Amino acid sequence: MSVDTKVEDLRLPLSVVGRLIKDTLPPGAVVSKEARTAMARAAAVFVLHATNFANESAVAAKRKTVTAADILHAIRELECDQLEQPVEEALSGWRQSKQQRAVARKENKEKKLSSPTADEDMPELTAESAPPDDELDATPPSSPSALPTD
Amino acid sequence: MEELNQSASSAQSNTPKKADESSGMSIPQTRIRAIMRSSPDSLQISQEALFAMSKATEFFIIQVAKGAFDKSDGKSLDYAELASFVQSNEEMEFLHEIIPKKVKASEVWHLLERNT
Repeated sequence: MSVDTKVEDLRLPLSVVGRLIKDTLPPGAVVSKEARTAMARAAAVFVLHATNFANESAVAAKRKTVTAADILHAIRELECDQLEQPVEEALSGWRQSKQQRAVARKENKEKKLSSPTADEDMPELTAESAPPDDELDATPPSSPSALPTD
Repeated sequence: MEELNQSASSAQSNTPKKADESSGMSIPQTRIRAIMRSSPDSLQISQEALFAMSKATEFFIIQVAKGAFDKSDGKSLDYAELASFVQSNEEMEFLHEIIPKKVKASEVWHLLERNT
């Protein structure tokens, strides 16, 4: 535990908690301040409990880093099974967009390095199927026109 | 899939913003990290784990809010509904002491008197 952690840092911002609740409930529903505060507290305790389980899971696997798998494990341990699927979906979305960002960054870099003529569309190479971009000239600018849009 | 379009139009200039950063209503990951770090046997936390925990917290809040609201009058969500939802839920045992049902002082006095 770092020494300079203040108690305020361990609280979840009421504004965000309130907004999350509000967006969940039908429009016009009133959320009392007390309910918001209690929810923020509950969520912080949820994080603490989940962290304990996640830590245990990581230690059991002889790791020193908590991974997403440990978090999912913790969710199951807490018997919050309904959370598992949405978190998994969010995770895979996050992984995908992270990958895309990485690819885009790489392409930007290469575009700057090589000539700016690599402008023609090459629809076959999408961000997802693109090989590790070692060949300088084969890399098109990110061409999302070729990506499936849903 | 906004991100894709964004990176299309401005592949050159900037990296696309994370969707949940721009919407401004997700739990700040720094806060989640601080809470996770406050655990006595805190380990390293991977970026993915931090993201997963933040999302789990969001879904947790949404789920509890929904559950409690379903038990309310359909107009408002008060502490009382939240407490009774949490108390009636066995999976939420870890919250039973965090969100206790409110009891009137007079009721407690009544109980105390009866026990003595």
